[in-house]
Formats: sequence, structure tokens, C-alpha cells
Amino acid sequence: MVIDAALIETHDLAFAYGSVPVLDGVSFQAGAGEFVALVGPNGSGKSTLLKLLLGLLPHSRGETKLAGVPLAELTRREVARKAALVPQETDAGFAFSVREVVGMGRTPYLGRFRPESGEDLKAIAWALAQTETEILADRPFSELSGGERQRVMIARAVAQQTPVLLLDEPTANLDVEHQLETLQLVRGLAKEGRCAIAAIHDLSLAARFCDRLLFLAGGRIVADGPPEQVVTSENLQKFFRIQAKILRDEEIGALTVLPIAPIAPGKESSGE
Amino acid sequence: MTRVSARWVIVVSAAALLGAVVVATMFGSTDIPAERIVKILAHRVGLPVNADWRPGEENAVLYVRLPRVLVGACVGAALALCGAAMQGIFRNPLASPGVLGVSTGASVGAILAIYLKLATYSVWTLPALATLGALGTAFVVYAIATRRGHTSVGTLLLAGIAMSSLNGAAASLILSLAVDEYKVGKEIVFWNLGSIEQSTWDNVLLVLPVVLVGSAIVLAYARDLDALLLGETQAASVGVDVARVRRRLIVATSLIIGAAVSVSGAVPFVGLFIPHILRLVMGPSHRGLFPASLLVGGAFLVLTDLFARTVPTHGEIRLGVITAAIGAPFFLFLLLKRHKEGLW
Repeated sequence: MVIDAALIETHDLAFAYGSVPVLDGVSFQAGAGEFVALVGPNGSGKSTLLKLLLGLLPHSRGETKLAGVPLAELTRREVARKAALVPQETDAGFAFSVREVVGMGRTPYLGRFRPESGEDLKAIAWALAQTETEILADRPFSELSGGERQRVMIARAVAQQTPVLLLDEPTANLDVEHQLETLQLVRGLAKEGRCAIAAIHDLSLAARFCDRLLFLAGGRIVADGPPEQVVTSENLQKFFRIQAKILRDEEIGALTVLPIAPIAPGKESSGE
Repeated sequence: MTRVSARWVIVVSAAALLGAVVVATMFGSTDIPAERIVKILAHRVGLPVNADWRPGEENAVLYVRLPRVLVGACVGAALALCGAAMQGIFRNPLASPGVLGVSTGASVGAILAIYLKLATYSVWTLPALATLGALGTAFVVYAIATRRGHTSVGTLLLAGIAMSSLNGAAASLILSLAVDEYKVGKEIVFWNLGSIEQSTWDNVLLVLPVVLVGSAIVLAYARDLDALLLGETQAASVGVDVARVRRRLIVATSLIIGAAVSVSGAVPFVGLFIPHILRLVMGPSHRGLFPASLLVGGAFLVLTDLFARTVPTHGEIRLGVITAAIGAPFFLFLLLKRHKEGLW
């Protein structure tokens, strides 16, 4: 897929934890308006890839560019103005208010002793409005439910005003209603001209909300394209080691994965 | 969550510190009214004031009480600020200069200086060795707990406890070598109990600049520590270079602790319970917590020291005894009260 002015672009990316290779030769690019799902089995390197794209882990090989600039040439602060991350887990054992947590998204723009300017306050208010979290603004973050917390962390990323938005399992630990709400929110944010990339466990949800899926397995991208091309029973059999039926609802125009049974090791070929 | 605004807390604690300084200068073996203190100070800076006081009073104010009160304010401010900073750096409510072994590191350096009678060569040897001891301990503890830029808090606290024991053993060893010389041994024991009794203007000149400069550095990182409370990845994703912030703050806090310990000895618990009380009152944001810790820590130690020298006993109660006696039970009470809600 060739995109004019890719917001995120990675070429031949490799990474190993010590001597254990995690990613090897990952290349892709994504642009404004795209909502890309990173799918793949446990341990396929989805979270690691997101951290590498932000420079939180060092590349062993290859290069990543954010909005056209190589990651290696950017300071942490500069990276934080180009790409925001909604991590999988957030500690909540402290009494910050929601507004204070969202305000932390302004950190990359603020000087050491300078208080928030009118522009920062505007960005915070806008992030709260976008994510419909204004009503929570004065509540302690620690007292929120899992779904509310996820929305607040997305609000913080929105307040960061970055062209690139990365999310690590934004729907894990959420009930169905909040899963739908969260993904709808992210899709809306992408359509406004951001490039959103989210690691998503649930293939049906990924297929339902994303225009493009990156299928990661064994440290490589094994499929890249629209849901119909990526979520196939062959791919699920080969890389998730499951038998599954792919159902298509014509009314909604979405795919559903109906998992049937795991494939016992060594019996792969007999299923074909 | 009923929080008092940071601005209010800072205004009130600044007034408290000022009040504490005035009161502590007024009271002592003889009580000197505030207006006479003002006159003595005015006279000292050359203003035309009718000198209607006894010379003993002028001496008491200028050369005994004032340096002692100022050293007390600096030490209290330093300990409370460094406690607040370390709790933020390591994202752990238990961290403090005492728990991480930094204070005992400074003590070992200072005791070594006393034992070797290095002060006969230069008055700066004791603070220099104390600072080295603090820095050395902090870096050993930090290096052991940090792998690939990630600091394990459990390992950190354990390493701190181990280093504390090691420093304690070293201090005991030096002390047991020193008991042959009664005077040196006594000096070490009393120094170790914590006191600012013998404070001079030299002590003020040593500790005040270090606390001022060190505090400015620590305050500069308040926003980064706020972001860090949400997690290391969280902080990094909003542009905080976590490893660098930690290294710089460890150096800054160790320097401050080294200077504070060298003029006061071991004064436990201030770094732990003052920041915690303030968090309960004003919330966890370091932008308010740091200045408030400085002011309240200073006021607390000035008043504690006033108590130590005015309560009628045989000789003075040592400062460290009182801070632990007030701090530890209060902290236990706090733990009981906050059991459900957590400490941040």
C-alpha cells in the first residue's frame, strides 16, 4: 500500500530481547485518516512493535520515520509531539483528578516552570470534549471504572495533539459496550486526519472498526490489507493454529470470526 | 476528595515557617521579645537604633539562636523535599533518604571524618565525606535495581535496606574502634543522635546554598515526576526521559542530604511523613508538593528543635529522638487511617 506523506513509516525493523528475536524485518507505512489494527497471536510482538515505533525500545536494525523524520534524530520530547501512546496498563494508586491526568498530555509542550497557557487549557478542554469525559473531569482518576479510565487515557493522548496515535490493547479488560465505545472513538479520531494504530486482540472487533489489518506472526507481517484479505480461515489456521469459520453479515458489512477448535500440534496438514 | 488548593497550602506554610523562625529565636534560656530581636538585627546591619539591650542578648540572638534556627529550617526543608522527590522518582510511598540508605551513607562519611579527626585539616572534610557517602550509596542502590532503564521498586527497597545495614555496620565498626578515645567516641555517638545544637554561621553558609540550588533543580522536574506517577511507559510517551530524570534527581537529592546530614546528624522520619501529610491535604501533584514540603519541613524542624532545647530535662533531648518519637507513631496512625484509600 503506497500512501502520500506517510505519518508513520518503518523499514526492515528488527528487535531482540537479548538473544531472543521478537521482530524481524517489519516494514509498513500508514497515513492520515487510517485506523490500522495490529492483530496476531500472543507473543507475536504487537506491544513490542508499538514501543519500537515510539522509540521506547531501541531498533536492532532498520529505521522508523514519524511524519517523515527518522526517529533517531528526535528527542523524547519531539517524539511526544508527533506520536502519543495509550498503554495497556496505567497505575491508578494516586489521587490525581481526571483533568490533571489529561493535562499531562501537554507535558511535551511545557517549559519547566511555565504554567499551562490558554492554548494548553484549550487543548485539555477539547480533549475532554472529544472523548466525552468532561463530566468526569473533577473526579479522582483512581475511582473510575476500567472503561472510564481507558477513555481518560485516550483523552490524555488527544490532548497531546499528535498526528500519530498508538494504542496497546485499548479494549482489553472492557465489557462489550465499552469496547464498542472505545473503538468508535478511536475511529472518529482517525477520520479527523490522524493515523491510529491499535493492537487489538479480538479479530471480529478489529475487522469491524478498522479499514486495514496488519497481521503479525513470528515477528513478521504475514498479511496486510482490508479485513476480508487478512482475516481468512487459512491465515487463522496457519498463524493462530485454530479452525475457524469466517461469517459475513451483509447488512452491516462486517466479518465475524467463529472459532471452532484449536489445531493440535502436528495435525496441521490433516486439516487442509 | 476534599483538597486544599496548592496556593493556599503554600501561603499558610510560608507563614508557619516565618512564625516558627521568629518564635524559636525569641525563646530559649532567656526569653527575648520579638521587637528587641528586630532592633538587634537592625543595629547589626547598621541602622541607627538605640542599643538598650544587654550584650548577652545580642550574642544569644546573633551567634547562638539565629544560626541554629536557620540550620534547622534548612535541614527540615531539605529532608522533607528529598523525601517527596525520592517517593516520586521511585514511584513508591516508602522511599525516603532513610529507607534507601542515603542518610546512613552520609552518616558513615561524617563519622569517618570525625574518627580520623579530619576536621583539624579543614572544616569542609566532614560535609565532603558525608556527601560522598550519600552519593555512593544512592548510586549502588539505583544501579542494582535498574536493568535496561527499568527500575524495579521491590529490588530498590531491598537494596536500600541492605545498604542501610552495611552502612550501619560500618558506622558501628568505626565507633568500636573509636571508644578507646572517649572524646571521639562520645562525639560520634552524639552526632549520630542528631542535633543542631552547635550550629554556627559556617554551618548556615554550608547548608543554605546547597539546599537552595538543590531545591531549584528538584523543583524543575516536578512536572516530569507527575507524569511518572502514572507509570514509566506513560511518562516516556509524553516526552519524559525517565532514566535521565532519575539520574539527575538522585545526584541532586544526594547532594542535599549530604549537606543536611553533615550539619545535623541523623534526623529520621521527616522525609517520610511530611510529604505524606501534605499529599493528603493537597493531592499528589509535585508542583505544589515540593514547595510545600520545603516550607513545612523547615517549620517542623525549627519547632521540634525549640521543643528539644526548652523542655526541662537533664541536658537537651536530641533532635533525632524527638522527630522519630513524633514521626513514627503519627505515620502508623496515617497508615491505619489511609488503609483503604492508598497512600498517594
